[in-house]
Amino acid sequence: MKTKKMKSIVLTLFMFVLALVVLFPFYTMIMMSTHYSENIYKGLPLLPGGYFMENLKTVFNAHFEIFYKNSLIVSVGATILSLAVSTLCGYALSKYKFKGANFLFKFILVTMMVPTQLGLVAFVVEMKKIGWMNTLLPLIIPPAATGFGVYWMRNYIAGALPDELIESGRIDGAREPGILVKIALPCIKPAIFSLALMNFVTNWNSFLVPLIVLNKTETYTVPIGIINLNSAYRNDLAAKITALVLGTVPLLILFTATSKSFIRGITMGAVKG
Amino acid sequence: MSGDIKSAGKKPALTVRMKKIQGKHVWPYIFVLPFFVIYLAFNFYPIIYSFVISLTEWSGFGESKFVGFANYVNIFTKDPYFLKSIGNTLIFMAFDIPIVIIGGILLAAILNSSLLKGSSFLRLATFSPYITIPVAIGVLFSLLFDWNSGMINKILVGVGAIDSGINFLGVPALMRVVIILMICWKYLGYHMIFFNAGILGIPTELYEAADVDGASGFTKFTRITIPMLRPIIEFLIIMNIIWGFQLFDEPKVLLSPWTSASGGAGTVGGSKRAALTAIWNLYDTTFGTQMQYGKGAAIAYGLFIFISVFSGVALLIINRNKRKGEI
Repeated sequence: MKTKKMKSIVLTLFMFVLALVVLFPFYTMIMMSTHYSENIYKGLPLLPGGYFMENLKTVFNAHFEIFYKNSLIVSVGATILSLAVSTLCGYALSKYKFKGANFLFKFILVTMMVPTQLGLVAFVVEMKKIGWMNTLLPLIIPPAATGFGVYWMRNYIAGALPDELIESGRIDGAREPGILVKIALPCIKPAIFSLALMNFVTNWNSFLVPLIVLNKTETYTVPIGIINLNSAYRNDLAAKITALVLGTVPLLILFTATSKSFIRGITMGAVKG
Repeated sequence: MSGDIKSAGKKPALTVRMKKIQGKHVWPYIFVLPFFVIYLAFNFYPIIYSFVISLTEWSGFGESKFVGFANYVNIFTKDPYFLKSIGNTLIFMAFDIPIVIIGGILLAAILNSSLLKGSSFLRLATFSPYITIPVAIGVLFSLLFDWNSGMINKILVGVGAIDSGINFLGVPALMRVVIILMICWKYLGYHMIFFNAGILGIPTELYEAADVDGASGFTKFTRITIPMLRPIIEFLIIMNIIWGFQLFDEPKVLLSPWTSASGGAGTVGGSKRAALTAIWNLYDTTFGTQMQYGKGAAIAYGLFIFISVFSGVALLIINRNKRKGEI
C-alpha cells in the first residue's frame, strides 16, 4: 500500500515537472510582455512586471488588430467553405451508388498522399494571373478542397447515418438536398464540429502560402504580422513579445476549451481505421 | 370507372417516381462537383503546370526557355543545397521521430495509470504546443535560446554552468539540436494523445488475463500494450515522414532576425545552411533570395520523389513485418 502511494507521488511529480517544462516557453513569453524592453535584456524576467498596459498601447498603435481581422476572415471563411465542400462530397460518396464513385474515392485517397507544396510554384503563378495576389482569396478558396475533409466526412456519415432514415425521407417526398440538410446534417453534427476546429487551426496557422501571396501590411494575417513585427516596433522587444502574446494566447485558450472535440477529431481516423 | 380512376392516379405517381430516380442519379454528381472543381483548379492544375515549369528556365516574368531535364540534373548533381536540404531534413527526422514515438507511448502509459493525479491538466499542458501557431513556436525558441538575452543562457550563466552565453543559433550543430528540441516539444503531446486513445481501446480482459498469469507491469507493457499499439505506431511513422519533409515554418522563423542580436540570424538556412529544410530551399530558390521558378518547380518534384521513396520503403517494411508476424 505504501509503495503504491510512493509510486503515485513520483509519477505525478514527474508529469508535473514535464508539464512545467512544456509550459515554460509560454510562461516566459507572458512574463516578458509585462516588462520594459531594457529590463528584459538586463534581468531574468521570471516574475510579472508592471509594463503590460504600456506595451499593449504600443502594439495597438501599430494596428495589430488588422492582422486579427484578416486571420478571422481567412479562418472562418475557409472553414465554412471547406465544411460545405467536404460534407457534400463525403455525403455523396457514402450514401449514393453512382457511376465513377469508386474512382472518385480512390482519387481522393491519392490526393491525401500528395503534399500541396508540389504545385506551389505554379500555384503562385496562377494567383498572379488571376489577380489574387495581395488578397485573402488564395487562403480561403483553394484550402476548401482537402482530401482529408472528404475522407473524414465520408467515413463518419457511412457510420452514423442509417440508410433507412434517408429512404424514409424519400418516401415522405423530400428532395435530395432537403434530405441532406434536414435529415443528414443533424446526425453528423459532432463530425462537423470536430472538422471545423481542425480546419480553423490549420487555416489560422497557415504560413507558407500567405508568406508568398501577401506583401502588403493591410493584408497580413497573424502569423505574417508576427514575423514582420520587426519593422513595426524596431528594437522594442517587449512590444513585439506583447504582440506575440496577443497572437497566440487567445487561440490557445479557445482550443484548450474545445480540446475534447479537437482531440477526438485528430485521433478518430487513425485509431478506428 | 373505378379502374380509370386508379390508372389516372397511378400515372402521375409513376412519373414523379421516375423523376425522383433521375434526380437521385444527378444529385451525387452535383454534390461532388464543388470539391473536384476547386481541387482541379487550385491543386491538380498547379501540380501539372509545375512539372511544365520545371522543364524551363524562368524568372517568373517574361519569356521562359525550355531546357528539358537540365534543372533536375542540376539539383541532383551540381546544386550544393538541394541534397543538403534533404540531408538536413533527414537528420531532424532521424532524431525526432524515435523521440516523439517512444516518448509519446511512455507518456500515454503514464497518463493512463490510475496512480497519476491531475491527468486532464497534464494532457492539456503537453498538447498545447501542438495548437500554437508554428510561427510563434519559432519566435519563442529564438527568444529562449538567444545568445545575449535568451532565458536558457541566463539560467545557465546564473547557476554557474557556463561563464558566458552560448551561441546556440549560430553554431550548426547546436542549431540543429535546438530545432530537434523544438519539434519534439511541439509534437510530443500530439503523439501522446494518439497513443492514449489507442491504449484506451485495448480490451481490459487482456490485462486481466495477464494478471492471472502473474505478469509484471513491464511485461504487460511490452507484450500487450506495444503490440496492440502497432497500427498507430505505423500510421504515425508514415505521417511523420510526410510531415518531416514539409518542415519549414518553425526553423525559418527561429533563424529569422526577430530578436535583435541573435548570432547567425537572418541567413538562409542558418549558419552554413545547416538548418535549411527541403521546403525552405524550395521557398528560397523560387520566392526568397532567388527568382528561379524552373529550378524551384524541379526542387518540388525532386522532394516529392524523396517523400514517395521514403514513405514507400517504410510501408514495405511495415507490410513485410506484418506478414512475418502472421506466420
